[in-house]
Amino acid sequence: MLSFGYRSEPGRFDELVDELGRVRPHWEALLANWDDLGQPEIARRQTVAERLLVAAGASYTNAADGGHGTPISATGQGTWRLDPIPYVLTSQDWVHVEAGLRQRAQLLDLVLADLYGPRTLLLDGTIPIGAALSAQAYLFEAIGVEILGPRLVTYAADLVRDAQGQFLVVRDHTDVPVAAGYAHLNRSVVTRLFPDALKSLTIQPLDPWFVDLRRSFESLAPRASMSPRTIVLAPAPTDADYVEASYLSTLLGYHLAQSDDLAVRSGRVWLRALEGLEGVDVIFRRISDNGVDSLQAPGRARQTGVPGLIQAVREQHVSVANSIGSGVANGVWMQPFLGQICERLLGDPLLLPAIETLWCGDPEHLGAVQADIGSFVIHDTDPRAPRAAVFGSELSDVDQARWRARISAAPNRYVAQRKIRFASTPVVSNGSVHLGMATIRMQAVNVDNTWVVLPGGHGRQVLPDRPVIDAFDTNADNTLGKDVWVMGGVNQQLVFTHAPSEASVSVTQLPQVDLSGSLPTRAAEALFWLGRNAEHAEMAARFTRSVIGRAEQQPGLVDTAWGDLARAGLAALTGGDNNPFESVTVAISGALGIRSGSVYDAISNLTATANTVREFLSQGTWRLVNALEREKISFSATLLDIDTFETADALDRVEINLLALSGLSLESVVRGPSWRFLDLGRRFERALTTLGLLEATLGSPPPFEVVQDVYALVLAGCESLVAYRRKFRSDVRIEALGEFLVNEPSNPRSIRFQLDRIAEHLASLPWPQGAPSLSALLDQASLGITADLENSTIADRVLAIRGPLLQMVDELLVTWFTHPPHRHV
Amino acid sequence: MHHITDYEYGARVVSGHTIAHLKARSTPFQRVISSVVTTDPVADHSDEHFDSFGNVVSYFAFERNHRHLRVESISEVEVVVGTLPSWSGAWDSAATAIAAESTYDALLARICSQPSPMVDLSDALVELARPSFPVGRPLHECIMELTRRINQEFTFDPGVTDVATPLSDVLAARRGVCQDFAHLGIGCLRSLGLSARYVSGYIETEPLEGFPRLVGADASHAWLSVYIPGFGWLDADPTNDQVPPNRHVTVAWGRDYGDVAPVRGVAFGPPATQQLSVSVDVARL
Repeated sequence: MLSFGYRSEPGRFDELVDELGRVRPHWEALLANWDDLGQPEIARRQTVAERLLVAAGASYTNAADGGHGTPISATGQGTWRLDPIPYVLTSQDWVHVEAGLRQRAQLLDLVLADLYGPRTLLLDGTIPIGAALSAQAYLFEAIGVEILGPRLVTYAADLVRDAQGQFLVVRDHTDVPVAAGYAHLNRSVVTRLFPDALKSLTIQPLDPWFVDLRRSFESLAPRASMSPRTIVLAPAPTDADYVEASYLSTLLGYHLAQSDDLAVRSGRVWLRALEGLEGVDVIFRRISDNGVDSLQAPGRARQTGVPGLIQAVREQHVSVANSIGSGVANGVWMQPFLGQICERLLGDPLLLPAIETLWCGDPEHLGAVQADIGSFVIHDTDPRAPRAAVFGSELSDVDQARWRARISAAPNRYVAQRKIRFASTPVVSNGSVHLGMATIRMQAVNVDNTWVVLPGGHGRQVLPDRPVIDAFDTNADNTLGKDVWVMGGVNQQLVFTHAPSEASVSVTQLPQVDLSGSLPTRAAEALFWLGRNAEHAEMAARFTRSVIGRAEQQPGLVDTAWGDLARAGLAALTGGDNNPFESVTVAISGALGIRSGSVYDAISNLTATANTVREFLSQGTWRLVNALEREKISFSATLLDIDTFETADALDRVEINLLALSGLSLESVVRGPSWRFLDLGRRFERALTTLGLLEATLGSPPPFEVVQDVYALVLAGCESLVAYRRKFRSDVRIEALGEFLVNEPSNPRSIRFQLDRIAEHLASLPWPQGAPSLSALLDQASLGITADLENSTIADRVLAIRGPLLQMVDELLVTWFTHPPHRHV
Repeated sequence: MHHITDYEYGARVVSGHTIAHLKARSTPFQRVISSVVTTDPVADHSDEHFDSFGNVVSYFAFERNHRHLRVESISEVEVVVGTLPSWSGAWDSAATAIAAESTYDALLARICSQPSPMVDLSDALVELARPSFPVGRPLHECIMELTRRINQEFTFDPGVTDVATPLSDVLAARRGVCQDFAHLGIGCLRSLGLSARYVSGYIETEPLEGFPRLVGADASHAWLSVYIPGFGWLDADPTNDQVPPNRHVTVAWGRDYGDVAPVRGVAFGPPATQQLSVSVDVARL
């Protein structure tokens, strides 16, 4: 049996077994399911889970290291792994937890309404002012701003079970409650891994909650509108929370916007879209409220945010959820007062209290903390503090003394949470069950003043009795996620297959806006560069592989003029400097290395740009992007000791993935403006790169003895060798080659073909008024193509075509993508 | 009062948002007869609201191309000179008294006893303040002395600081402008647990006959105000060593400069060097 050998610790509540070591009844059916599968199968499925998470785009973010895909988890570190054993709440647990979370959410909403309204809690000292100001999250510019709807719209709390089995709150999340998306993602993976387990058990489904989430946003819209526009205001793609913002925007069918995509005009918020400004009614805020409006708050002046946003809220032309200022209730500082606040505002005790928390600004509490610092987790609420929290027990004597002095010097800043013993819970690693510990993040949403709690959540394995305290709290175990199951729902399978509820239908099938029609300009630009990066990577990889292939077949070639021209081609396609003293092998390593323009670099850029437009890309696309990231690592690993076979093989796989990507964009993307920008990028890149290759290799006629080999290499690099031979069935002649690669309208690799597609795209895009016409430039490029062959060299033609093409790219960028303008503050 | 703020952006700006704390507010010693704020170019959208301190905030949005922006305010106020309290309690019992009050004024006082974004508290500030605060001394006397000492020990020098200079630099250089001296006084008082707010306003430009021209008259001015339990707020101008100040006109108050900056804005345009010029004229009618 799977749980064989699982022993709980005496005196510590265990989720799986009771104090006599008997499996608790609600686990029996679950365990039976896993026993049927067996340990190796579970281990295998855990691996599958990780692959599915990667495929969902959960694992790569455009990190600050220059866009080299870095695996991240919910916290931004490590690989995201999923424990196949869920965290289970019985229906009895659920009744208690649900009621407790609803009460807390309701209470915190009232607290926020008071802090940004009459401030009675501060007037009478229920909340000491020193505590309220300590975290610098109380936004004075939001005081007195009357808003539509509740202050708190979404809420999350981290819960833990103590050694007695009681649920306690570790902390509340009121600013940007993260992880509802992760919970949804985890569930979708677990559903695919253990369909039978979910079918035979009655686990409450998650989808209805996301319908409530949408309904909540719709009810916040300030004006009566048939289709209020909600957008997800996301952080930068380098931010760990970007992945979830993107996931949620896709799930809910909302546009993803970054601050620079939004503009405030006439007291309203607008999305900068391709066809002009589009009105925004509700903002689902995924960036901290501290800096959401750069017009305010010079003390926190960051060059982010949407200037004028608070004014638009004040004029009630837009709703922001959670409301600006709600971050004041985030974190731990309010815990010591919440019990009393609850009695005062609701007349009831807290149903779900937090772990005992003391505020050092209170002399009595300060004394208790100073006397026994080892029993507390010390939180420094100052946002500028280098560490948000430390475990007193993990400090050396010297450091304990240092912390005591620090606390005495500014006691208001410090909050101490008692270190408690946690309950244990089963966790799986390598197919067997161990005793572990976990915290769970639960979510709730305010729908017309009723709080609906997500019957599920995002669990995390933690070290024994050690909650995760801040973003720097890294250890591998922290990143093992757990799906949270709530027992006692209707059978999940039935909801999906036999009785599709209105709920699941409206989430999955009715996007709120037509994403194929409306396109934020930032996304349009990113898609354009995605197309260019993909095409560049493809051409660079193909040419490099062709060079390796020819050199393998005819080892003597590299020492001839062919080698020089191959090197020139590599330099032209991969950003090299064509050093005549460099061997072809060295040139190949350079082409694959990390320099700007290399195959490696093009793939990195491809991943980075793809990452900023996740919501436009299919899961299939992500599989390919992730595969490319893997291949990038594998071919770069061969470079130190270049093994041409291994390298060519890896490049081959790169090329196949890139071809698949190209096929996907051709066959699986709706022909709206988003596709046109993606394809425009591809066409321009293919034309420009082909011109660069022709110039480098055939700019002057190659020496007679290698001319056929050079022609063959160029044709292969342009994926046109086979087609050429089928068409001409003879040795390659320069006139025919030029015609085939430059002017042949039926060859999808020819310059002419690219210009024809570009002309089609330009004719179909909604041009802003007063935009310069590109048709003159297009005509100029066409003239270069059809120039008299007898009297012009390849080099002449390249020059005649490239000039107007580059000008077109410039015009296009200026017309559509006026970059986020510089701000004068 | 006539206050003009000119921005030359040095480039064509496409759009912009500006907020201003330029409308004078009424106080026990000041009645506002009229106060208007206008802009050139004329704003495409504007609004006015009260902030959490009761100041009037003007908001202007510009949605057409412009190269320069002028924000101009003209106010007429009637001012009486403030009075010193005839008596005040010992400074070291003030904090307890403030904690016991539950008025909005006392709440503001409690807020203004805490550090704020531009006023960090420090031991150096306690050290600076200490000699003026012997145990049991009436609070208003302490304030008068601290004001005089800042005036004497620090040199008015417009060249060394800007709006972002931290207090620690001012302490080290012993130089600064009215804004720095106001922050300094506030920091001293808060470091001792007392309540002090930042006041933004003007002083009369042309002196009366027989009086010296006051420092800070050609720009907007700043000083501080201390909460004295049982009395209320007492203004103190360390730049001119005046408690309570006279010939001063209050515009707005807050925790520090950041809450009441006269004009603040964000404009969108190509990178360029921006030039700012301010002129203030305060005349007795």
